[in-house]
Amino acid sequence: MRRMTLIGLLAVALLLPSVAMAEEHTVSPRVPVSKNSPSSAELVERPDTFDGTAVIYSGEVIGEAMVRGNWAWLHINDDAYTERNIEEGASLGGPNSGMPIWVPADEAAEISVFGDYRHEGDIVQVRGVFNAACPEHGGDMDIHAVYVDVLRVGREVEDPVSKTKLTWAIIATLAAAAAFALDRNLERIREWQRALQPTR
Amino acid sequence: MIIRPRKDDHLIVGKYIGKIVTGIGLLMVVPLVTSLAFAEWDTALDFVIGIGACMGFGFGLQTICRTKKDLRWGHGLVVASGSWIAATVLGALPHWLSGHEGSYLDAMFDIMSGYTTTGLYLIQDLDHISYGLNMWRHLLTYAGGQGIVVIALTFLVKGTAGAYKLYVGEGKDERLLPNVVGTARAIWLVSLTWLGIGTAALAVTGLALGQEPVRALLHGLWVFMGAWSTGGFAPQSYNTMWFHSPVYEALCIIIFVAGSFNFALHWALWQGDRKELRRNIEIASFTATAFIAVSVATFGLSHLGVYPDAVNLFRKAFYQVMSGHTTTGFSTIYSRAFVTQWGPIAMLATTVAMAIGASACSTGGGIKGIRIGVLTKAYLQDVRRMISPDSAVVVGRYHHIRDMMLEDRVVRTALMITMAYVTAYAVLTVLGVLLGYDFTQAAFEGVSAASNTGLSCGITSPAMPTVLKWAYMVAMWMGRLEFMSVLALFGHLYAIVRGK
Amino acid sequence: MKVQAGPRKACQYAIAILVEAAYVLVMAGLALLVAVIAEAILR
Repeated sequence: MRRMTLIGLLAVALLLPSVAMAEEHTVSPRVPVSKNSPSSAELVERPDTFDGTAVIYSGEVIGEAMVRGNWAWLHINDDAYTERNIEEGASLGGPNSGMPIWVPADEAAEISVFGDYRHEGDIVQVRGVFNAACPEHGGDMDIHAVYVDVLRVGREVEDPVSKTKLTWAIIATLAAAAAFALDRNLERIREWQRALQPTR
Repeated sequence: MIIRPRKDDHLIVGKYIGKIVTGIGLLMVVPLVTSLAFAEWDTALDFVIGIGACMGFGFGLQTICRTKKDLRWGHGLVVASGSWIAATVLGALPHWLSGHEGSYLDAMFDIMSGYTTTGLYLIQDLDHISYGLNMWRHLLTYAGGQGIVVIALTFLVKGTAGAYKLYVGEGKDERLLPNVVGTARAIWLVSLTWLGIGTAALAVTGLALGQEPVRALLHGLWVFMGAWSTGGFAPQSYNTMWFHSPVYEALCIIIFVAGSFNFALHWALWQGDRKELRRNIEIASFTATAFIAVSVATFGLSHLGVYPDAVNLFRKAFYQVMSGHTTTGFSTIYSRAFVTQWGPIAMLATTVAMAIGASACSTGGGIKGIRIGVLTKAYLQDVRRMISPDSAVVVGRYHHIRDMMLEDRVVRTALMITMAYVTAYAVLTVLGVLLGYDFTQAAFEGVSAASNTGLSCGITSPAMPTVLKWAYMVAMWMGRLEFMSVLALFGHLYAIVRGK
Repeated sequence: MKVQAGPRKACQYAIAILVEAAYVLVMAGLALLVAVIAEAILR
């Protein structure tokens, strides 16, 4: 019983410091309100403020353009990785953030590079109407844009083979091979050992 | 008296953990081949290192731990929970080496989330990761769905009586076939058939939606793996909102609901016993609770007027709540939209759905339908007992593959595990609130982690407090193994220290 | 009972998968009905 009390007290003692940290970890970030060029984080955080209003939004085009008839879906990220990939040495800047954009297919056709592992996508600016829950698209949050301006054409990204990794890969392979050989031949090795030992 | 484990016990545990970690190494060959096929050389090295580490550790352990003894019950549980830890620590190597993780802890969080088919993630800049790494993320969630022990049973462990104990240790207890290796193969037959059909359906749809053939195929495969394993990983940060298509959404729902079915139910259906779908207690329980949860969320959202009309309302509410109830974690809304659009009523409905979760012996998590069903029947039985004459004998029954008696033993087990889940949910919620999060959000995210769902309302991020990362990781692990194996591992460690 | 292959079995498996899919569609139908009712009452 006494031990249980002790454990209980310890648990409380461990939990208490977390209260001190409480304030700084509140989820809702203090996203500044900008009049007509909100970030995707702002749009998601305050959908009602911007619902139905005209917005200017820019960022890196990701993945692909999915053409549906005369229109197309784009996904534009305005997070920490629009300029440089992690592969090129960009520092980590949290999770991705972006917005789906519904644009005329011929506007989407102007985009040449889409962001993925090998590419930094085109940086574009779109002008259109933000929908918190688009009636046309199953309640999705999106921007219906009319214009897409390519601000900067994307490029290929190099992910150079790291020498350190290569060294470690060789070491790991050799270690694995050695462990495998040892595992398969342990009985035989023991026999040899026995044979080599001088009989007394 | 607690008996200290002997050398033999350590040898048995070590040997099987070694085998399972070897299996993880073999699994990494798939992403290795993927990255080689797409000429992602640096990523390929990540996997070579990963494979080397797993194989070195696995074979090394098997070399040290030589024994011919078979597993006992305690061993099976300890091996299952222990191998999940080893597999997480070593499986995190490629994630960490990719440079997309803030720390090794973050990498392990993602791996544990994958194996346990949770779907929360801390990887940064998901939209720019390699095909190889994406393949690994999804493959490990698919493998975790069947159970990494099941994989080892299929390929690496010869069918001994002890093999069944490993299988049970991983939270599965149905024998589809008399032989446990046969059962493991039957599970694979169901999973792989669905894999083929599901991937094909999603890939063709993706193609029609305007994706390039290669991307359509890969996205189809990965979304299938995320859905079937009720995992919730998706190749883009937009999750399944990426596709903007009712057809794609419908396919996803069909796959993740099927993935949340008990493998014994699948097997009964596959043997031609279609009546089982109507009579099974888990399906009855799932249908009832899912209907209630969807209805509450729908009314809550309708009251707030979030969505413009009934069809859109249905699309969003049904997808999100079913994804939560099957403990998948796919979403077609932003994580933060749960807070900024959905509001407390719909969030709580989703939270309760996640807490209840999928079916036992499935890829899903949560308390599980069978326990909810059994407990409901037990309550009804007690009420019947109260209104019956003293001399009457009130007998309860339920149907799961065959008719079963509602014995006190069954109810006791169901109640114990339910209480364990409820406790885990409560602890995570309280911890979240202590760390300064809003109650509804803390409950949502905590239940999501412990029930292996993976829906997020924005708490899970690389910037979250380290203590919460650890708490979620442990909860995912305990929840997936249904507590018993993990408690057995703690007992084992305690016995090493204090046993005689 | 063993894991079996063959056209007859394959057909049986296909039907089983369709039955599982049909269950989801029935659930979806019910949910749509709820959504229609909710919108009718609350708007």
